[in-house]
Amino acid sequence: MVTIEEFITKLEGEFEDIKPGTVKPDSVISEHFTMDSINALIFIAHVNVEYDVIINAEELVNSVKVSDLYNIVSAKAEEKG
Amino acid sequence: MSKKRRYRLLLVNPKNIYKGGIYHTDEYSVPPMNLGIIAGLTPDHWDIEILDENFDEFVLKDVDLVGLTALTSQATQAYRLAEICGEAGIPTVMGGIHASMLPDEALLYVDTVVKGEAESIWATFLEDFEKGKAEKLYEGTLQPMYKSPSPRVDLYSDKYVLGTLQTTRGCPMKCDFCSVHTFNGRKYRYKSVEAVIEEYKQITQDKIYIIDDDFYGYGEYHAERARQICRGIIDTGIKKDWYTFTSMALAKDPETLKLMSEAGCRVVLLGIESELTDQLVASEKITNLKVGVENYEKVYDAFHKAGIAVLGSFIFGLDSDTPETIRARTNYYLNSGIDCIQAGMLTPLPGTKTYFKMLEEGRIMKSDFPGDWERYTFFNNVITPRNMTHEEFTDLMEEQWEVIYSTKTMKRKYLSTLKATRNLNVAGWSLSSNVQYRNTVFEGRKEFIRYKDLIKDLIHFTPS
Repeated sequence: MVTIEEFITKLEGEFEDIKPGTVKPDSVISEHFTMDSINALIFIAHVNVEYDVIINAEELVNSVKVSDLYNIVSAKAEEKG
Repeated sequence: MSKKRRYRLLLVNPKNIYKGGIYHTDEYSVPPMNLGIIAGLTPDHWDIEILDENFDEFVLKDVDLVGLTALTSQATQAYRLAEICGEAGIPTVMGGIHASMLPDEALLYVDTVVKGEAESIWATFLEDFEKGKAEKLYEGTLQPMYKSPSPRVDLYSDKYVLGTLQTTRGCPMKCDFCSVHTFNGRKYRYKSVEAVIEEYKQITQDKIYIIDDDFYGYGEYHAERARQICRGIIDTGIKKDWYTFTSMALAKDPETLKLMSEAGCRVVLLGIESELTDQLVASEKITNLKVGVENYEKVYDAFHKAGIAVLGSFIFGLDSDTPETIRARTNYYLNSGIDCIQAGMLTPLPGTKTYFKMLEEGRIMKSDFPGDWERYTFFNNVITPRNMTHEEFTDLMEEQWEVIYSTKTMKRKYLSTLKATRNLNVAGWSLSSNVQYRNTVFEGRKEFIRYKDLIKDLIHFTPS
């Protein structure tokens, strides 16, 4: 699994309106990303494409900070080996 | 007054053993519109059945006449069926682009060939046939499209996933690998907006393939016509998703793009062919040269802004292609805004400049005709490119397809389409195109996959 910094860089790259470097591990996701239905799907698809990990909508909604999401994804990635 | 005798006509769309993947699925299948039009041209005292071998097995029936159509890749099977009919004493007639380009070859297997578009000549052939005086060859002339009847959609199988609609014919371009301008002419012809809308209303499927060579056309008059069709579709209140072929010229017309999107256009196929200027010059791909390869990304962006995905059609194996340029084309696709790709091999279709040139240069490697026509699908290597051996090119394309149509790449492209268009239908259709090509390329060699399963795997959502 990549570091949280790399995780953030890749995530920022998916959203044109996010200025690179503005999102931090402690950033609140909803303050940086408009979590409409399409963006939620982009999050889910991004995680699947980049890390071959499946997260569901509930896990995404329950992730308040970026680090919360990172922890879920990295735990699942490690579980997969 | 004597009552006319009734006749029975069986119209057959032959299968291609190498192309099952693209026609046989419950996610993609289109009716043979040309047979629907032939049925529409046939007088009422003929009872007509349309048989599509992609769904139903051909069995000899008690009919007076069997009509066959064939793209080049279907010609081998069309001839097989003609021989079966001949042995049973059933007369056969063949039309379509392959028989039109090689009528002498077709006449070795069928009784009559109708060369070119059939509208002007089909009735004459049937009259002669009824008198027992059918000629060997009938040559159709290009007619205005108002003379073309609506296809008999009532005769189609109910298994087709997509409906078809044709609004224009002809292409003023003369790309050397293409036979459209030879078959349909270089004059752009079109149906009336009213006729198109009436046919649109008759289509029962939720998805439509508008089978024009260029829906948008050339110049403001054609552009206004495209807009009128879109407005007409919107006014019907019948919502369907559709895709069509067009040119890059459309990217400069945001008003039409917006209307197309509102009318249900989800994907357009653009004949990109190559990202290299010298190759476009060599292929006489004038439209793309006018746009300029340096502006291609702006073109893709314009379609995306309207909520339409781009299906890029590329040719691999052009005369100036080397292993390096072919690998670079794959990388170009991966990093471009193109959403899905038809990554075809240069295929010398009969009647094209490419065919005659390669024939003369002895570079057609699969020429045991008619058996080898079955390989002319764009996904089987039938040539020796100028800068590679036949075997090198085969291996190289395998390498490209492994990347282009990998699950990883297709998922990445789905994600980028979703981001660019913010439309699930558009991203889904685009992915389905990639999956169809992937299934065709690897048919019989890799496990068949369904695009809906990929989407479910990706975002836990199953499209309807």
